[in-house]
Amino acid sequence: MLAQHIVNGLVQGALYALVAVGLSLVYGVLEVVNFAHGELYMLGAFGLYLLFTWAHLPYPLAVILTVLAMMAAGLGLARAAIVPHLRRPFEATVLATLAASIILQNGARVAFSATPRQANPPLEDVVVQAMDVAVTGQRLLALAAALLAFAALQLFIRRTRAGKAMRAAAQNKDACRMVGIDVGHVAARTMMLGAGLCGLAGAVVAPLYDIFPGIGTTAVFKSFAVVIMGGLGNVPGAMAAAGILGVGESLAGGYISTTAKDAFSFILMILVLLVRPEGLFGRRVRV
Amino acid sequence: MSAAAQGQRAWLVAAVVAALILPLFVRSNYLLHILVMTEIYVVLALSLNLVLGYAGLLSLAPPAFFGIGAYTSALLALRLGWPFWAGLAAAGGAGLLFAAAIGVPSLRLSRHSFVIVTLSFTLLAQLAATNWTDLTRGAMGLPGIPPAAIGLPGLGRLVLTGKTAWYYLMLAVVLAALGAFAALVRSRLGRAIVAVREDEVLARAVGIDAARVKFLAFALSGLLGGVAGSCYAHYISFIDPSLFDFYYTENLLIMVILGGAGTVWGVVAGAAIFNVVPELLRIHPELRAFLYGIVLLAAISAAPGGLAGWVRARRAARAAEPSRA
Amino acid sequence: MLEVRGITKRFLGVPALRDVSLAVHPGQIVGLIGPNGSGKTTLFDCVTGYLAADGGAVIFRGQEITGLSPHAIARRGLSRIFQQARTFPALTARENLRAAGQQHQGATLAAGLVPSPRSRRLDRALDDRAEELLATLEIPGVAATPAGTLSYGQQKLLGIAMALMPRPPMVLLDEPVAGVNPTLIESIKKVLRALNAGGTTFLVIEHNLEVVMDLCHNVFVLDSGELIAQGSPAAVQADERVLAAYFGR
Repeated sequence: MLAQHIVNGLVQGALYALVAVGLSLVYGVLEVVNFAHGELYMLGAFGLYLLFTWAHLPYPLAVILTVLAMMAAGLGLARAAIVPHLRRPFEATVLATLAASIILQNGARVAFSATPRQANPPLEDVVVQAMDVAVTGQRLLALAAALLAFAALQLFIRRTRAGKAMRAAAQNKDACRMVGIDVGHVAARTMMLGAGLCGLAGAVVAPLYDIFPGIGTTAVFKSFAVVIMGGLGNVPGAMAAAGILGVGESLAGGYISTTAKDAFSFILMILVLLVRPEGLFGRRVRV
Repeated sequence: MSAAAQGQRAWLVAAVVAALILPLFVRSNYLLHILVMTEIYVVLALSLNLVLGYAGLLSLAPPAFFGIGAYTSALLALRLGWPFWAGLAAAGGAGLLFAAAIGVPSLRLSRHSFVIVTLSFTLLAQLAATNWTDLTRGAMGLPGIPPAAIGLPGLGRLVLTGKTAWYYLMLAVVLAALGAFAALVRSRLGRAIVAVREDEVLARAVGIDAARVKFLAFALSGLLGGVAGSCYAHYISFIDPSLFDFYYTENLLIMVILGGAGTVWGVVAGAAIFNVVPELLRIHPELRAFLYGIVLLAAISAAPGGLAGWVRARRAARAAEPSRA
Repeated sequence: MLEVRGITKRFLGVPALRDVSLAVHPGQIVGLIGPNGSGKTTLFDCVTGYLAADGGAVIFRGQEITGLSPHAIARRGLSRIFQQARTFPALTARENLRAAGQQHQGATLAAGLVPSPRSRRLDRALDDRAEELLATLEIPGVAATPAGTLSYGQQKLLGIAMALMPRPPMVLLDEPVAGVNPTLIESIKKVLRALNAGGTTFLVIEHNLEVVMDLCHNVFVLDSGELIAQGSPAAVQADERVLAAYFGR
């Protein structure tokens, strides 16, 4: 029983990490909290639903197309709400991304209605069992996708020029401008990357649950908790925090109640903030 | 009193008189309803204005205080038979207490963490209202909240039903809130709040206890939010967890930001315009929210000071001196 | 008046201040000089409570103020101005000065919520003092102008006025004449001398060595966080260690 809860928690943690990593990345590089982050996840989910469940494209293709579509959406969001305000006081980007979130969530409500939909991904009925512990196939797929994504992200950030530009921007934007790195481009690329990760999360994680326009709010709630606990701007910290959150929630849900499970993320976030405002893993921006 | 101040006072008197006689010209119950909702929104908008416009803190918690005030007042009336005024006071008190409780840990955080925590608090409040069914009946909500009643000595109780009665009741509440708000911003505390917003480092250097000042501003905004929530609960007589929805946040943000955060009359104008116009146009709530999002996005880029900011800039441009040392 | 005893401050293990001690006696104008990055502003920050020192103590008028918050220190009579001219930009100059002076009148924050003869009197006292200072600093016309629209020099003067609102016994000045034109420099020097004659003590960080030599009774020299010399301006000017610090080793 305990083992099952812990495994559930770890898997869930990895999924939370996948959902949250885009938010952490964007903050780490741009110092912008993207309040439309949850809506990007929601759009990714709807994208997958339209491509796979409705248009009957093969699942892998649907996932890839969703990721690409979301990268384009990320670019659009960057142009509309982030790049214009990069040098302005931080309220501007918060309010702009908040406005974007309102536009996207209500636009989805108008377009799709609030009716929950089921995506029925291919592996949802498959159960993998090992030593008293069972995990559904779709969850394992999501876990695999998450781990692959993290590895790819690390490689991208450390090995490519674009990645290096992002790390430079994370440390000192003015210095970037002085050496000719176009911070606007870095911002756009970072948003594309973050949105793409959201798209992947929407495509592999969201189908585990019902899909409706409000799922962005829950996703962003959890992502905030993860990012705050890990330390704003600290991507590896966020992943570790996601793991802790996942296991904690699983144990709370298993041994206390479902309400405890839902409130757990907020309570844990507040506790961390009371004791260590800069997050569990420190404030130094690490991308 | 200077000519400018006399002019301002004249406008104020005219506005109050106009507000007093307005219901005489309004036939439709529906329009009266919009006016009452506008009045409730003015009080809630003042809450956000205090914390965002004056203290410079981007707090997304006012809808939480609104909902907490509404539920407090409703539960006290339904379960314990408390009269409206007592419920109103308790709602304000509840808003104040919760704001104080959240304020202590969150005000010392970075600005980004602060926004996130206040938003998360609103989401958590909604979660609590939905799941704590023993107390709040969850998604079924609380129906049948009794209307406000005034006990007049010797004349018995006057129960306030009907939109006209509510209009005047809310007008009294609004004028009281506006009066208190204006007094606050002209007081030393008000000056200290603005100083902290403008430059916290400098404010501390001249002896202002910035942490305490921000805390007071935040706590008072909780009080205002709670009062607005209580009025809403007794007016609409039914509340449910959807009170905490983001819907209120964007309405609020539009009213305060487009009206002019940091001014008093700008926010009143914003609340009036952004309540009345969409209702008159009969726009569906989701479409309205969608359009508001677009307007908000455009406003952030083009007119961050809102209506009041635009007026102020025009006035300053007209009065600009040709030479300066 | 002010005694700094053995202040040490490290940032992430790198020492910014190493066992710095200095004393300022009542009625003095004392200079604090040193090459860029030597820790002068850091010392000010430690003295005024913006930074917590890792070691040492600060004594002001006989009482220990180490570890107090900036606003508490300000209320005890130690005012400060900043390197970059700081004002409350959206407020007029008069409102800036009101905000700066109101903490020192012994009235609570609630005063003025309900207009009363007392609060009106207090406000008038603030306005009178504000006018007096604006006249002394020769910027009388800007009272109703938003501080954010003033020129840099005027903002600097406003900053000095704000620090002087409560008639503090001592003021810490961080580069009061940096970025300011020569005529204004003379004005500021005149004002400081006049105030000093009236009893105000000053500790001044400055890069403009002419001003330092002209104004100060005593000078301390910091280099890389350490106190390397102290004495009269003439003595310090000739000190070899000081020359080495400024012009290379």
